[in-house]
Amino acid sequence: MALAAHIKHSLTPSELHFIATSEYAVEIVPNFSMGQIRLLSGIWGPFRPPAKAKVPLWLALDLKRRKRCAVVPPEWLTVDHLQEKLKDETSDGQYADLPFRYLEISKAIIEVAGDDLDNAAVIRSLLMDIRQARQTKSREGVLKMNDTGMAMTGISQLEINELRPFFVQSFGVMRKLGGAHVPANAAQSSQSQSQSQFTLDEDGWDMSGI
Amino acid sequence: MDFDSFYSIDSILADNQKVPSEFLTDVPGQGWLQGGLDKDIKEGAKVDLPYWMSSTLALSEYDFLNLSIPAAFSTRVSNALIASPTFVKLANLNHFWYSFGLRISDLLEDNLKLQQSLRLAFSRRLIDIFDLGQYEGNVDEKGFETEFKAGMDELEKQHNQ
Repeated sequence: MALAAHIKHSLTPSELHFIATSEYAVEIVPNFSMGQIRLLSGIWGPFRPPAKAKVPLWLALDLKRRKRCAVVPPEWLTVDHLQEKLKDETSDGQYADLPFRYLEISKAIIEVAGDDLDNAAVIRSLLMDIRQARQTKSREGVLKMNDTGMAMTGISQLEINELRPFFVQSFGVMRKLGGAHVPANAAQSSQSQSQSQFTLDEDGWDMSGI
Repeated sequence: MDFDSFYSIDSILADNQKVPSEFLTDVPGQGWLQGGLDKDIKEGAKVDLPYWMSSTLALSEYDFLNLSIPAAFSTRVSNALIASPTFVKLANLNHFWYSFGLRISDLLEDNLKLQQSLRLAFSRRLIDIFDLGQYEGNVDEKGFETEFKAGMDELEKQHNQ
């Protein structure tokens, strides 16, 4: 596919959406009866209402669009759970513990099966709050960037994706510019800010503890 | 961001930035380099030569040139960068400030200070470059962002593309 250079080294959001819907499995309550079905991803079913069945997300969304099932929202996609995560997110320096592809999955489910969620509007606004809190953390990551490496424990796929081009370029520039292992006392001035800059660079930086 | 890639236009342009040089010897027939009407270059003449030429001449086994550090990398600039990295307009100093600075630091024996100020400038300006990339258009264009954008070096401008 002919793409601009800056898109080529990252996946596009629609590609991520595709990966998430093929990878993730949700429970549904079907309103039709059918035996097991064999797909590339495995054997799913049988479908016997009102029993729940586990299916890949793409299939669940497709059945939902045809009004053949109700999606059972995953346990992390509830108001209570998200409220708790938002609290973690704003009180702790770490990224809160959410599924790796939580943004893609939740967007797909809210879009197609919003009526199966309790309070989809609240869930959506909670997700937006969480996303903003996480963006602030990523921004802090930029502030502390150096050329030796960094750990961003718990960051999600979509967030990695949007940071990747910028971070990769910055690492490249920093490595070229060198000066990473300048001892702290060799820094030009005693000003606290520039001093700390070099001190930061010296130890392998761990961003998880911001 | 290619500093020395063969096909990078920016690296060619960075090679062409001018370095203040002083001739230590007479050079007959090359007076045009000075831009005047003189036929020859006299010993002691001060000429701004492009980096690719001045570095070759200065590093050759004959002492053709004495180089001085370009104004863009003077102590005054590095002090300003320490004081406030984001308010220095790198583009006004040199459009290829980082790449040119690296080239100059290759010529210097004691290049620690210059490398530090390059590095310091980049890492402290990075957050504003990041913010511009993320939020450009959402912010009040009259404020700090426009000021900062006007002062961005070519490398920084390409950073978010």
